Amino acid sequence: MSACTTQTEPIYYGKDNCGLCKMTIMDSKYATELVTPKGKVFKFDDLRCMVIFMKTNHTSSADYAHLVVNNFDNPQEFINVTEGTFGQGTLFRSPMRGDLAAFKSPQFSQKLKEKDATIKFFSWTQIQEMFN
Amino acid sequence: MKKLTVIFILLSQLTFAKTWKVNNTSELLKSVAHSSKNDSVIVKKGIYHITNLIIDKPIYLIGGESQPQNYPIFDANYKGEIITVKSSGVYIGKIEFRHVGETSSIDWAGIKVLESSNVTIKNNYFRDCYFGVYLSACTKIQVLGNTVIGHPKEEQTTGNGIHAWKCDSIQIANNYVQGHRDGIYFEFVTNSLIRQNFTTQNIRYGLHFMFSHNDTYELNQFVNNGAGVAVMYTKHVTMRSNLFKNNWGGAAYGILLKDISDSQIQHNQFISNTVGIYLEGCSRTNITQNEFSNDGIAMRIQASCDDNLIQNNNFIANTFDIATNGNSVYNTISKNYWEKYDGYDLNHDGIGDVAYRPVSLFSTLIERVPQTMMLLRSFTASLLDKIEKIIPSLTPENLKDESPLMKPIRLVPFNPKAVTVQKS
Repeated sequence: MSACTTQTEPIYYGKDNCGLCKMTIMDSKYATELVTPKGKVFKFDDLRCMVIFMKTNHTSSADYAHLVVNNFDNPQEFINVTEGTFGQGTLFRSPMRGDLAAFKSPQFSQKLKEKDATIKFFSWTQIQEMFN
Repeated sequence: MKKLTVIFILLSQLTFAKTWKVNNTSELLKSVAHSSKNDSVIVKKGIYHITNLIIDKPIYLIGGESQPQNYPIFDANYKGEIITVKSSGVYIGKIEFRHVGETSSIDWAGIKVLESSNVTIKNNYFRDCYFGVYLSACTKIQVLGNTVIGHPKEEQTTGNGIHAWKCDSIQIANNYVQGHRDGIYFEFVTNSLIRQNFTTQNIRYGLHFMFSHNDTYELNQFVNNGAGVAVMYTKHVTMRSNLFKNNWGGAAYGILLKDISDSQIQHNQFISNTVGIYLEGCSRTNITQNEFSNDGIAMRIQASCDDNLIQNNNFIANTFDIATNGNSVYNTISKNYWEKYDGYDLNHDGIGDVAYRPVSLFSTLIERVPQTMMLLRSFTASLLDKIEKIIPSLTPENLKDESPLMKPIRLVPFNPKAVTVQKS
């Protein structure tokens, strides 16, 4: 059955709701998405919501087929959480105050560092520790 | 004699406050720069191209005409923001703000107020501004009688009409907000009042509240917004005499209440919403004397709610009165009027003699298998509902109103104070 593939799905801004906080997803810069092994898609407006969603369901990264975040540098593009770098600093204001942005290229991280010297970078493993 | 000297000193102080009349951009910038405390800058009708004007002393900046179509126009040509207030005691009135652009990192606004108090923003007009009024870390601000209308090109490229972050004791009254992301947005705002505002056609919420304790909103109208009103993660909020109307859509609510505790919801009207009130994680909240009519689901109470009181409300012509996802009931439901109630009152005390179960079998079924919605209003569904009423099996047994009212309670009808918008 071809219908049963597990794939990520585009986020419809202004229409889709966050899987945890129920808010309408508006800001593409901070939106995230996860897909279960059965292909069910949950979308989130903030990285914080996704991490808390995973924790309240007693699951870890291994339990999902896809865990993706929008690239802050190019919000149309999904990046896999394990490939992303996460920044926290005054430049970011996400809807549920997780205030974390994800990006991939080291050049972009460098550019952010120039804009805001106090910015902190984290990996996906550290992010999971951050919220509960 | 002493008194006279005091008066003279006071008078001379008063006369120092100067009035500047300006009619072009350079004069305006000059007079704002050279004005001193308590001066008035009166701006004549015309178009002023201004970006990033900083006001750092208490002055009055006012348009010279009282008709909105004659307000002076401050135009940013989408190149930045217009006014930033960094001083207490500033008054801005009768000015039209136009064309504030958007950027990804800074929230540009028509008027931005930073770390100030006692600022009044009254009777202004905001058109095509990314954010209309933006308050950050302020106290005692008044935002009164403004009209904020956005025309977003794309859905996600608009900010909030009136945005307040980390403020205390502010008042937002008699404003009209249309076409923004959230009409009025409060985050970490305490002890504040939102009164007699009209928000409509905003993309997300008419009013959006987060982490804002001890606030009151009353006599507001939230009509036809993308998803209604959201009140989240807040304690001690009072919602009184508001109108929630025509908030239709897959995930639209009259009010979405998430993690609310110790709050009051009284005398509100919920008319023609997909869901009147959606409650999740709410505790110790009193929902009394409200009217729910023509809603898809009047109230949806998730199992995570406890100790709420639902009393003396009217439920009229709703498809479903109450829907829930659990079996246990930790909320008190009593003395409501349910239009669907078909019990009797033998002793004529106005209270029905048999309990009413507001959760129908069908709404429980839909909860489990959403596709069954297609059987709504079919013979099978109503037959099952009738059987379920006699022998409850699927519906939560204890979720019932033991003392349903025979007649609707009389509520003071909402008096929509006409909000007139000048469309020039």
